[in-house]
Amino acid sequence: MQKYAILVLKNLLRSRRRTILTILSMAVSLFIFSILVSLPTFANQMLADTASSVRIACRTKMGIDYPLPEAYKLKIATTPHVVAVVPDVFFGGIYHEASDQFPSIAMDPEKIDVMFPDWGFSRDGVEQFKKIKAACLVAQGTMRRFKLHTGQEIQLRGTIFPFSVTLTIVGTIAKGPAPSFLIFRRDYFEEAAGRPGIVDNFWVRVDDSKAVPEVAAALDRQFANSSAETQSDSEAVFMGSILGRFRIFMKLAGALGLIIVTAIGLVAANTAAMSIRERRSEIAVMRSIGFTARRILSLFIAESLVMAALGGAIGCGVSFALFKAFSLSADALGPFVALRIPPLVLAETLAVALVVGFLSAYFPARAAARRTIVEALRLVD
Amino acid sequence: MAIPFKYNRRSLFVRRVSNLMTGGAVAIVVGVFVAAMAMVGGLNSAIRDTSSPDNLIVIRSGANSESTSLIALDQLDALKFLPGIHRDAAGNPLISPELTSQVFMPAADHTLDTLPLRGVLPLSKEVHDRVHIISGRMFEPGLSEVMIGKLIVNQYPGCSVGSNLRLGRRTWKVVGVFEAGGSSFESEVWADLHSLQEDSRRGSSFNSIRLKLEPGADIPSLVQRIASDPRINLHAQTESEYYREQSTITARLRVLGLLVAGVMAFAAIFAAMNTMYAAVSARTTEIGTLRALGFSPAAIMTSFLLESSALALAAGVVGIILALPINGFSTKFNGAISSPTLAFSFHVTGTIILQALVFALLIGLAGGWLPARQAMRLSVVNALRRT
Repeated sequence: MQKYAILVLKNLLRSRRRTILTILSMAVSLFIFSILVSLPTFANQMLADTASSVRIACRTKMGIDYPLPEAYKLKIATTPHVVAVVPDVFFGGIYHEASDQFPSIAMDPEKIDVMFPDWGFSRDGVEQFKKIKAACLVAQGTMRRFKLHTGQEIQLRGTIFPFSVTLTIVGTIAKGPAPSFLIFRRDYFEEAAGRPGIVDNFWVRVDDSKAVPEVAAALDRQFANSSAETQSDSEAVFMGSILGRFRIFMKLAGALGLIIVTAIGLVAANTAAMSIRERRSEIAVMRSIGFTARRILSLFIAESLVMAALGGAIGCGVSFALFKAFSLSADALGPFVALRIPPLVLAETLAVALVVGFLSAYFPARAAARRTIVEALRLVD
Repeated sequence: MAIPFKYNRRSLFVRRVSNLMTGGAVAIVVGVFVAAMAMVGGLNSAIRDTSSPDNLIVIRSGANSESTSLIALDQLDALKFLPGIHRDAAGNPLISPELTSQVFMPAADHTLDTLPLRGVLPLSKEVHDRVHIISGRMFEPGLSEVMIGKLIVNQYPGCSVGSNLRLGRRTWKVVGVFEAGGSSFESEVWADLHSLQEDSRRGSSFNSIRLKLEPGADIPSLVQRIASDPRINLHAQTESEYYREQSTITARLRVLGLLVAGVMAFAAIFAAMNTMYAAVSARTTEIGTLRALGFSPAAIMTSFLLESSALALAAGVVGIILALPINGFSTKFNGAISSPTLAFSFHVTGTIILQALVFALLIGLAGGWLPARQAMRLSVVNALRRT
């Protein structure tokens, strides 16, 4: 085994320039590939995470400027199977600069720990949140980005609403649905806004995930033909519909990814074909001293795989480091806001690299290995 | 003397498999470039064409767009009779107070597309002079009637003349279809201002005021007046300025597109270098012979550069042809939750094709440069001896 490894390495080093150029070409393509697939992968992961959720999102069916009345809270709470209801309103303020935007949402505090036990609230955070009217809980991504600390007072300037809110950070959220966001209390919002009594979305928790469709249908039925109709969906469907807004990006990213893989395949196949072409007579000699066609084939494939793996590793490393360095929460890439490279994406990228590396060497090498010895030795170029 | 191009053409043909693969990679990169630019161009023109050069848009000071702005009725009244505003034959100032609303339309997989619903007055058509009704008629004020932009016709249930369209709290009757010179208005629904104020329960407030300027109006002083008059205190700017600021999303997409195409270009350059280095080393004897025949080193270098450029250009043409079918392909674009669905189509323009050809040529030159220099530097004796 070891001697074959040495043989593969020697062959790779024989045409150093070609090996390096091929690896670089693949690294560059795989770098872009990993960034492109991060969006769809991130989306799928999010959907998988919420698949067995017992939460329902009950939102307005009419439009963004058509909020629901807060009086719905009581009606929803008395629906069978409902354990908790948390109304929320999107405030969307600006912290310092206009580009420093992250979602800020006003929620009723009483039931947030029952509703979102999976969010990883910091200890005492929820308790403080229930006690202090101007309290807010901040996602850890936001804490890191703006170097905030618990106890700090922050001001958010309203964009949709013509007023500002001044909040005290009482705790953090470790595993919320987005890396960067903040929640504060809806009673504070209502007071500042002059008691409009509005709700964008009711989060509803039911006692059994089997009851989700039934409760969602019951809610929509209850509010049908009123002046504020609702659309209730399971959390997975709700998240899917939010992500669905980025459909065109997902499709584009997917199509581009496929195109890039084709390009990598062409580059790798070209390299394999070139090195095989140069070693035709060498292959014949190896065959005649007893190497089987199969062994020669696997040697070529191993060479290609080594290059693909190196290219993949470099590409993934660069994208990983880049995302780490400029934690893309700065919304430089628009809809790609606050996306990180999940480990799954790195695994996907490496897998794609290896598959392409294998296939691109397999076909030219098989043709070369199958050629009869006499024929190959006779071929002089 | 230059080496005839016939030599390059035949050489390219000799190593056709390798050249085809490299050309394929270059074609893909150029195709991606064309598609990205066509998308950005289409989005840009959808946003930019919305402006009329002699229109001002007035919003709340501090608001960054129409949808986050709020204007009260008395502010409108104070603004109405400022100098510099164009008037129609009856002497009415051409002012259009507007209310924008993002209403939901059910789309596939429980997604709610946001559709911009704009409340306007019958007079607004004079302010937005690029809006023309192409079928049906204008809505009647006071009735629940709407007209729709031509890009959303038949895109959603009820989007055709004579149908009932369910939006917001009520059912509207679609009475007309308008076009607006390819602008984003073409993906909007226009309703009577007062009906929409009622439907969305927003009293007598507006989001923005558009006004048509008199020819030769003093824009800076009007803007100044609107900002400093204590009864008005609003932010005015020309529509072209406003829409330029609003198109940040396309600026980002452009960066993204260029980034992908640019980084992929390096992959293509490396591939081209590989092929050209292989070509140089396989043709070492030939190069020696050419030198012995009296061709200068510069001629050799030019010849190899020409060869890689020709390969890349041919691949570029293929890439452009591959990307052409997306021309005119129209789709919907959703940005953030609060921004409306924008319909736009890909535009492959002459400029983009030219840029793509230059892009391909650059890939060819960059990929051929080092190998060609190596070919130039081969010594005649060594090159000939290596057989």
